[in-house]
Amino acid sequence: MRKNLFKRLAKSPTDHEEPEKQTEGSDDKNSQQNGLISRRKMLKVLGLQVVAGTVAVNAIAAPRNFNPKHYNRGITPDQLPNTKAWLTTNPTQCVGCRTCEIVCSLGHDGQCQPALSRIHTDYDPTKTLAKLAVMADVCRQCNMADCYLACAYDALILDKKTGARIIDPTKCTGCGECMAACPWDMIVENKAKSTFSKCDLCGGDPQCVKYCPADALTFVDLR
Amino acid sequence: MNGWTGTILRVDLSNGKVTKEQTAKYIDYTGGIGIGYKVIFDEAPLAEPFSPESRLVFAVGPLTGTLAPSTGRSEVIGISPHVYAPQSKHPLISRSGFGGYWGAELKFAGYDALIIQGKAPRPVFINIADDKVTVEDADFIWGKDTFAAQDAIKQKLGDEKVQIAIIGPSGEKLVRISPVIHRIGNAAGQGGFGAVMGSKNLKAVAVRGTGGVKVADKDGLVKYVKSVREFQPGPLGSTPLSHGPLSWTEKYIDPKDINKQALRFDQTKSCAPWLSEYHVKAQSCYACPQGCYAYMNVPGMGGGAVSCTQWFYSWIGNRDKATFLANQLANQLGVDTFEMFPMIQFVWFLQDEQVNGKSLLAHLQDKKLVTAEHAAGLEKGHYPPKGELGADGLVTLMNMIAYRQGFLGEALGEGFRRAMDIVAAKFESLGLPAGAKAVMRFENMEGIMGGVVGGNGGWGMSAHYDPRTFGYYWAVNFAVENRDPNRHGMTNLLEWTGLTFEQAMPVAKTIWGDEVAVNGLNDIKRNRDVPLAWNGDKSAKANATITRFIHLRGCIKDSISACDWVFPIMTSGRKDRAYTGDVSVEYKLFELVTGEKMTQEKLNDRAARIWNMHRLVTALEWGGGKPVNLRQEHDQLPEHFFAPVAGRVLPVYPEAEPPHPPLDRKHFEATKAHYYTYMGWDAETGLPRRATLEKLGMKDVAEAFEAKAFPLPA
Repeated sequence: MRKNLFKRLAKSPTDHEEPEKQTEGSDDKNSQQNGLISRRKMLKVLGLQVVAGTVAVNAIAAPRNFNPKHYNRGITPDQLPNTKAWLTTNPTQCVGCRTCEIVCSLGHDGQCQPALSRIHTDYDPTKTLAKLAVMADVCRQCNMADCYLACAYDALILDKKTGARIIDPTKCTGCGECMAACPWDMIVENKAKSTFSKCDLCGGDPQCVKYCPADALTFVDLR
Repeated sequence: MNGWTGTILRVDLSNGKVTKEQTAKYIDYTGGIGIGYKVIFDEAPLAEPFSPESRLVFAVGPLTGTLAPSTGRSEVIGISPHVYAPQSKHPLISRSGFGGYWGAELKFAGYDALIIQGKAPRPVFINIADDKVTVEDADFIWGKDTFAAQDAIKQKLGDEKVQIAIIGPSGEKLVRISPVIHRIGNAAGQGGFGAVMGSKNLKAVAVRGTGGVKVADKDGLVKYVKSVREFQPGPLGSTPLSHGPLSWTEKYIDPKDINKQALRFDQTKSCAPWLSEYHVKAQSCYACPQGCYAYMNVPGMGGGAVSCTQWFYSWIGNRDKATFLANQLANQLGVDTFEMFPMIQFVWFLQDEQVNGKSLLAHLQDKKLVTAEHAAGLEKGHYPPKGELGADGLVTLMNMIAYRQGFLGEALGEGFRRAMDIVAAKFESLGLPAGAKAVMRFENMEGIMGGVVGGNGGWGMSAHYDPRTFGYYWAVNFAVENRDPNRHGMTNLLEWTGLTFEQAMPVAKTIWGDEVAVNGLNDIKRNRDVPLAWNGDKSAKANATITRFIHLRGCIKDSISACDWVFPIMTSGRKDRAYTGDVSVEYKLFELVTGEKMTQEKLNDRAARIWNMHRLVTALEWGGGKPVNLRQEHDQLPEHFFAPVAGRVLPVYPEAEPPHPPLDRKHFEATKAHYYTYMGWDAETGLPRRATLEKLGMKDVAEAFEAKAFPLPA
């Protein structure tokens, strides 16, 4: 493991495009059309790489107590490419207008419905009104994303463009494992459809960032 | 349905029954105040405000909950216990509104409005969670302040995201200046609707919704909203956000610098720059990019949200942290902040006016009508140098009002205008008619801040803006409304966006044309000895045109429902646009959201229905169903607006310029005459003509009115 880690660090970041390139020729046409890479395919690719001794990812080391057995997919840190893009928020600039929630649900669900928004304005995060913190809360796109590790149905996949951990709605069975696993409460349940969803970074052009009137959201893009 | 949810909720507190109705019945009246006025016209126009049959309506509009900017407003409509109209046979209908998240949440729960009727046998709160609506016991929050009670409800329901409209202890005690409070600073301030809730034993309405609002053209809406942000201004107090230039003209403040955000307080002394160090951040309502209230945290006083007249203690002269405390107490106990201007000055007046060598307050104290403790507190709250105008006096006064403590607290709890009558009557009964006469002199009180706080505007409320400063359009607005006629469209052209009169005039010409702009508008910063300009019939017509504009735009705002502080967007912060905004934004948003093909004329017709409905309810109430002449009896202003000012009535503190020269009654009447014509109302009686109502598709309403009351003019 440790040996691999050194190798990984020595690799250039552009390497993480590699698994995606190799998805060509895959038999899963559906995910190819969506521009997505499924977990199963990726494992195949990664597996080849491990055999060849060239791990193509630069994920940071897993937590000391990390145990793949505790997750449904048995993925180890070296098997999951790092996040390349994510959102950050600035609570001092956020004015709590919830434009982010509106454009998110409007774009993904076709109506203004903050309950389905993948970004949340947590306007009383300190649990009392008068403590005053109002801020947007976003999916961290964690490297070792608990949602990703938890899904037993391969519905959690990586967005080809951004590397975002996203949910393939055609594969989501609505089991809720991802929601239970997320430590940040960032998985959203659509009760009417019995499915779950999460921030997909809008394929690299996050609408919440685009329309935030206060510049309180930043799209960190290391691609 | 796009925009509307299609469903209205009705709760009868007498029997706890919850029913659902179709919005379709009210759809011609759009939403917000349109639904409210129609419900009251249909069901209980003559009810006493505190009777179980009186209706209290919370309503939002088709735009609420969508991306349409600044449309998170909730309207509260009912027969008002605050409006003072002794000549009317019945109390009058009124409206108030509040921002925040409550209105949007109501839409997400699936409702366009909530109609409340009846009276609960014991304290309750209404709990709306999507389809599930229950009336629940409120013993655990009865008596609690609005902040503590909201936290307690959230804790009990185990949901932090529930949105709550609530009353403070003042509402429970039927204090007539009791607002409905939402979160820590959103208030439906004027109208006394908090007291109406109290009279129904209703402490709060909690709402949680997980549904959505459909819009007809989502891509078009997103695109259009973005384009509006690129020119819309930020009026006074708003935070200069990154997308959308600030029109507090050319005073650019870097929005990314939290420390400099607080500098917006320096825009004017009224915004208490000495509190900048306690500024936490700017805050907006739902879907609003303005950030016009400030979250502050002051040691020992807790966290709170302050905006606009919630700075009242500063406006009245305080220069320390008590400015913030005043806001906190008003929001927690439930006291209308705008009423605090005449209220504080009335108490000073009682302290300053001498009869038989003693102040009016001292007389009351002699008769054991004011305790020594209260008197001492009020003395401390006197303006300097006699008092210190600090926290102690303020706490005494606010508690007296909110809890109706003692004779004077009982009187002040009725609002300043009724308090004058009560205190004067007490002096009469004590055999001190000179005292009674002295008290009534306060009726002529002037405003402060150069006419921004307009003094006694009639209808028993502290008035927004002095018509002697602004013009006859504003005088007619005062007369035709049933309340403080507060509408900010005009002030956001002439005052609060910081344009000079020379900069505003070309903007005005794009809206109304040269003739109206030149003959209707006055420079509000002109010298105090310069009367309103008057150019004969041209001015009468120009002023009437502007009044009509104010009323139609007011009804549009309160029905779709959009923020009064933002719409219509007359100005822009951009020099390259010659500071010109775009007054067509409302109908364009309406069309994008609802899918209904819209023009300004069509939306004006929708607004005219609402304004005519308001007029009909007023006519019913004024005469109790008997024929009335609203022009002569209702559409009047307090005398002092027509009389030269002999000397200052109010205490000399805070320093205030004298009012502009008095209005001319002939000009006032000439403007009214044209206004009635423009509205399609009878020039003699000021009543809506039958033909006008029929043209607006209100034949059924005209018939219902005539069945209830008297024939309308043809």
